Order: sequence, then structure tokens, then C-alpha cells
Amino acid sequence: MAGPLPHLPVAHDPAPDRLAEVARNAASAVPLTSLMQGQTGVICEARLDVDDAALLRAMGLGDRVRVKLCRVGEPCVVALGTTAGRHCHCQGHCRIGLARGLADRIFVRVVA
Amino acid sequence: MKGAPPDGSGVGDVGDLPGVHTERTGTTKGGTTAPVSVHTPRSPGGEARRVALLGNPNTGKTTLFNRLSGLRAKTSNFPGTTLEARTTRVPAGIEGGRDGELIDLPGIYSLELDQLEARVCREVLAGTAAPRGEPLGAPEVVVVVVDASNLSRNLMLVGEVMRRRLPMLVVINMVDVAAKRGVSIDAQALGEALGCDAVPTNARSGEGVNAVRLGIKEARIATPALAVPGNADELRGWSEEMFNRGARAPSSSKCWNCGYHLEGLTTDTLGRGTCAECGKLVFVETHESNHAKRASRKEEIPETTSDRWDRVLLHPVLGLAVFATVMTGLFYSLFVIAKYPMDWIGAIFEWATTLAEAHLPEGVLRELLANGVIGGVGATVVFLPQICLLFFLISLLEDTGYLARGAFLMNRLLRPFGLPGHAFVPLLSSHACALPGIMACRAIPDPRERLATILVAPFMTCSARLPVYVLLTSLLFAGKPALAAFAFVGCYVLGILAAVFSALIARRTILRGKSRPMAMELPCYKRPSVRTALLTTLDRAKVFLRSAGTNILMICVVLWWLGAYPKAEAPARVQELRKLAIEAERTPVDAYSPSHSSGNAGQDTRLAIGEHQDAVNEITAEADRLEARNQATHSFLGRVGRTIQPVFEPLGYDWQLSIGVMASFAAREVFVSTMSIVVSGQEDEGSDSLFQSLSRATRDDGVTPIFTRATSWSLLVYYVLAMQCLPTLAVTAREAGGKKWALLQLVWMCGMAYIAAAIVYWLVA
Repeated sequence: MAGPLPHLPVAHDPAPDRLAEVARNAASAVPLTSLMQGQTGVICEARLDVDDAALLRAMGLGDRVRVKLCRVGEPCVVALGTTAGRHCHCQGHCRIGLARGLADRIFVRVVA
Repeated sequence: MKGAPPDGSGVGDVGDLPGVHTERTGTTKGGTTAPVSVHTPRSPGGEARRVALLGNPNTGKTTLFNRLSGLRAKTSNFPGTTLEARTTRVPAGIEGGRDGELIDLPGIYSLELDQLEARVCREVLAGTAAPRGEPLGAPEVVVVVVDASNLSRNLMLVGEVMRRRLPMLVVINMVDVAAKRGVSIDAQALGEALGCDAVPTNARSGEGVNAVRLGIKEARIATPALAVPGNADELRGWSEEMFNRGARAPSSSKCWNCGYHLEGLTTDTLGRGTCAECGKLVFVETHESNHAKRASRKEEIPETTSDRWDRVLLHPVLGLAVFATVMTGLFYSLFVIAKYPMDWIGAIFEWATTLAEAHLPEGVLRELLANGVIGGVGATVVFLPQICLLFFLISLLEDTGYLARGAFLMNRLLRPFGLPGHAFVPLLSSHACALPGIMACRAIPDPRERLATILVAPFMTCSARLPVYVLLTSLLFAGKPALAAFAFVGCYVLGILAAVFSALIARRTILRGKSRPMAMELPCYKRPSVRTALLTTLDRAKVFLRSAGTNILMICVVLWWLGAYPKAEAPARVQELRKLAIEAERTPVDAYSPSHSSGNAGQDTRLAIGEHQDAVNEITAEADRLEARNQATHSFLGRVGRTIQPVFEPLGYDWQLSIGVMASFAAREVFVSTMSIVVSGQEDEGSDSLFQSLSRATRDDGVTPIFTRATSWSLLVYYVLAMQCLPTLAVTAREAGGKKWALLQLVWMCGMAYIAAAIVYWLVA
């Protein structure tokens, strides 16, 4: 008779975690313009056309980038902060001005 | 300047075949498969190494270029794009070897973006584009300038260049700024990670520039420790990894300038000390202190001085007030300061004309030199100070970081008319000259908005219009400088209104489409570099003088010839006057005896002789005027004027004004010198005499003035709105991507000018 099956480690599937993270982000994501001055958020989604998204990414405004809203209004000024939890390499001195229409379509998760 | 030695992988297979340019798909280190362009560098001219200077905007690239070039830079275009590039020769220096030909490419964030600058950079790196007059060929060395204070983002561009497998050198600029922000760069470690030389510099102070020269000589194809991924998101991760390897604080600090180990160096509270080897100021940070700083700042993005300034300068009301003040100050200083050198240049040309007339024998050569060449070119070159000053001030403003804020402020005002805030700098530049203004439109990302800006930029009051404005406002408001100044400002406003109105129509019709929202990096405010501004100004001055020495000179000579030939016989009245003058001159001096008057006999005699001489001069001048008029009427120019005059009849122009307007189609500033030639038969003899001469000038009936109140207003409106600049049309055709746009610009502007001028003439007359 075969003995009881040995307890096999179950491979961890990262997909559900990622999906959960996306779901959490989607639930808590707010437009960048809804932050208050001085608040910090992490970019989780940008509903932009391809060219705008590519330009912003090249300028440093990519997914999971931490941004601080320095100025509300037109233009909306953000300071680039940390990326994926790491330290910001520009030491928070890099400022990007965004037209309000653009900032409205960038969604962030508020972190501070 | 250190780095990992090249391992030769992927290099040696093509390195021995000079001139080979192949493309292949290969697997790079790390398993990432991507199309790889392998370029074997070759010298296009066979003499100098072509070196391309590339980098993100605001990394101090142009400052470094100026440091390397000194005053030897020249400006040229890329064929088909009119994208300006500055090129220079970099001497090999004490190390020997060949000189370098350095090309300053436009600042870009990524080579892969769908932008004109990025396209040109891609083509230059691929060897399919080169500055005008230079042979095609891939650069032998690519110098990527990165901002040490924002290294990780800048390294993304480095990665993109690496994928092109070109010998490269990474210049880490603004290390002083980075050090002040607590980032210490280990150039050696970074060089080892990137697999190429990495040179720290401070281009502003000139430190490290010699090391760049040496680095250019020793540049090699990079062999990074980690393969460069093709995906943009992965590239960001790669750049961060490179940053972490290169920007970590070294456990044993070294001098950024000479590499000397700094253990035991005494530092002040800011971590600054003096290198014992080279004497340079160095920032020393221990690994622990740096780590602690990073940890403490991990969640904190500090408020900077620029943020505090931005609260005021980007404020909806205060910001606009400051902006209006800055712009007013800019244009005010333009007129106040430039006035003096303009007067000096005018005096020099006047002196040269007098000298030519005094020393050359009477004849065609004297007339050509004095009237055609010196007078004609002088009437244009006199505006050089205004152009130089405007470019100098714009360059200073740009260097402070304020112009980027100005673009956002203008975004609010321009957006309702379908123009982006990016259009602000091109439109401002167009106030000096439409050519650089149109070229600056390449910074506008949206093609429709770029095209709309190109089409309306020539409405801005360029410096070529200024002499016409000065002439007409002075004629309209003689002795009333305040009203003349008011009219002058009105011309600027009219030009701007016409531009935004035209843009609105274009964006609602032929260029209909969604506006692209604005995104722009806001550089930190800083003290501007006077040296950079001076070099930019020098560049512009050279371009202007080249134009004055070629196109405008040619126009002046042709106009002079058309006005001087065929030679007409002097009319009977002129001959009578000349006889009268000769007879009067022969009148004996003793005719003026003391008996003719009472009182002091000697003084009376002198007065009488003086009056007599004045009368003779007046008769001679009248004879000259009549002869010049007769010559102008019967010359080729006169015949052309009479032929085209009916076209300008509704605007109130006679044949003489028609000639002036037609000649201005080559260049607006030619109007004043043309009118001077046509009306008086003499070139500009100084402002006062020119104004007097033009205000006295009459039509063929000898009674009606050419410049009546109605025709002067009509001309003023016409010159504000009309497209009268062939070089601008040529640049529009190239920048907009077709002659049809230049034709549209010509027809639209001239049509609007014609209708508006006719209405004004009808209303005033």
C-alpha cells in the first residue's frame, strides 16, 4: 500500500498577487489632479495616447514612479520621486510641468 | 577617466573592415534579442573624427560644446529638415592624433520618440544625415552628456545609444550640482558598469573638459556589464541598475578630477575639502553618511527654491504680471540700448559712402559702390544690434529656466486659439527673425500645432519690419514721438492678433484636430551663462551678416542697376537750372561790395557770399532731384513700377511706392533703401535727411505727396501683415514639409494684408 503522499510544496503563482495589486490600485487610484499640494502618490495608470505616454516615460514619469504634487492648477507641477520603492536619483529636484488635461488622465495611488 | 577594458565581443568581427555598415539581428549578453545595428566608424572626410554630441535637454550639452569649440563653431543645417546643428573642430591637443569634428545635436529624451529632433538624431547616428556641406557617414564617436543630478533617467538615453554599437564616451556633467544634492558619482565604477569611459565634468567652470578631449580620442564601443534591453520599461530598470553601480558612494573616495584617493581628507560641515593632488574642491561622503542621507530622504521629496519661485511665477495673476513686465523690459531695452550701436553703425556706413564718393573717380563704379553696395547693405546692417540684443536676452532668459515657465503661462492664452504653450518660444524668437522662430517650432510635439505655428510665426514683428515702422510712424507723427511710439506698439499688437486669428482659422479648418496637452520639464532656476548667451548671439550675428553680405547685397546691386539704367537724357528744366547755377558761381566776389549794406562791411560781405552760395547749392540740389526723378521714371525700375502700379491702386500707392513694395518681397528691410533710391536718386544719407527727402517726395504731378496720411497708414498695415521674405518662405516649405504650405502662407498673409490695407486706405482717405 502506498503510504500517505508526501507533502509537496505548492508552486507560488505570482499572477493572482499581481491581479490583486492591480485591483487594489484600480480601487484606490485617483487622478493626479485630485491630490492636494504636497501630497505624494505612485503612478499606477496613465490613460494617454501612445506618443504622450512615450514622452512622459522618457521624461521619467513611468509606472510605479513616486511623484509629489508641487503645484495644483495649470500647469500641474510634479516632482519626480522614488521609483519602485527605490530612492529617487534626482533627489526630488526634477520637476515636470503638465497641462491639466494631461494630469487628469494620470492616475496615482496616494501614499502620503 | 577610467572604465572597464573592452572585451572585444561583438566588435572584432567587423572592426577590421573600415567603412562597413551592416545590420544584423543578434543575441546580446544577457539573452535579450534585439535588432542590432553594427556600425564600423569611418572618417567621412578622411581627416577629422566625426563626433556627435548627444544628451537630454538641459544637461549642459551646449555649454560643453562651447567649451570645446571656443569661438570656432559654425552653424549649419541638416538637408531636408533645416534642423540647425553647430559644428566645430576639436583640436587633438597635446595627446596628438587627429582633430575631431564635433556636431551638437538637439537635446532629446529618447531616440525612439516620434519627434523631429529624435528623428534627426537617429539619422545622424545611422550615418544617413549630416550637417549641410558635410559628407554622410556615421559618427566615429558619440559623446553622451548626462546630468549627474538626474543620472538614472539620463542613462536611459545612454542605453539607447549603446544599442547602436557606436564608440562612445559618457560625459557626466554638472557633478557639482549633484554633489550639492548629496549624490556622489563614482565615474570609474559607472564606466566599468557601462563598459565605456565615463568622464566627470563641470562644463560651466570648464573642469574636466580636457579629459573629454582625451576621452574622444580613446572612445570605444561600450560593453556593458548588463545587456541593454530593448523594452522601454526594462530600459528604465537597466538604467537604475547602472545608476546604483555607478552612483554608490565609494568606500574609499577619490577626487573626481584626478582620481586621487581622499582618505583622511579634512572636510568642512558640508563634506567639502581640497584635493591634495590637484587642489580642486571635492565633495567627500562616506558610505555611511551617504546611505543615511538616502534613507532619511527615501520618503521625502524636498521643497526647493525653484518651487518657491514657481508659486509666484506660475501664479495665474502674479505670474502673468511678472511675465508682462519681463517681456516689456526685454523689448524696451531692445530699443533703448540698441539705439546707440545702431547710430554708430549708421555713422560708419555714412562715412564710408562719403569716402567712396570723395576718392573714387566719377562713374559707374563710384555710383555702384556708394549707392548700391555701401548704402544698401548699410541700411540693413544697421539693425544688427537689435537682432544681437534680442537673441542675447532670449538666450539669457532661457538659461535661467524662466522661458519654460513662460511657455506654460502662454499655454493658457494660446490654447483657445489652437496653439500650444510650446509655441511661445518660436513666436518670441520670430520677433527677432522669423527664420530661427520657424526652426524653433520643431520643439512642438504635435504636427498640426507645429504646422499652425510655422504658418503664423511670420506675423510677428521681425526686426526687418522695424525700419519700415520707424519710417512710417515718423512720417505719420512727425514731432509727436509719444503718438509714434503708440502706433509702433500697435503694429506689434496687430501682428500678434493676426497670428492668433489665423491660427484659430487654420485649426478650425485645414488643421482641425485634437490639441495635444503640454508636458515639459521645468529646469531649476539658475544664474545664466553670459558666455553661452554671447556665443549664441555671435552665431546669429554671423547668419544675419552672411545674409546681408549675400542676398541683400545682391538685391541692392540689382535694384541700383535697374534704377540707374538705361541712362535718361536730362530734361530741359534741369539743364536750365544747371546753367543758372554755373552762372551764379561765376559771379565775381567783388559784386558783394560793402555799399550793398550798411554796418560792418566785412561781416556783411561774408553773409552775402554765404547766402549766395546757399542759393547756388539749392539750385544744384533742385537740379539733382529733378534729374533723379527723370532717371527713376525712365529707368527699368520705373517701367516695372508703372506696369504693376494698377495692382496697388486700391491701396493708394503710386508707381514709386509699388516698386518699394515689390522690392520688399525679397526682404522687407529693402523698402527703405529702395524708396531712398527711387525717390531721391541717392542712397540713405542719414535718418534726418532720408525722412525729409521722403516726406517731400511727390508723385508725378509734382504736387501730391507720395506719403499722404492715408497711404502711410495703408502701408503700415500692409507691412504688419504681408509675407515679404523669400528666405522665410523657403524655410517654411522645408519645415512644414512642402511648398504648398509656403504658398498658402504667402497667399494668406498677402491677401489679408491687401484687404486690410485697402480698407484702411478707404477709411482714412
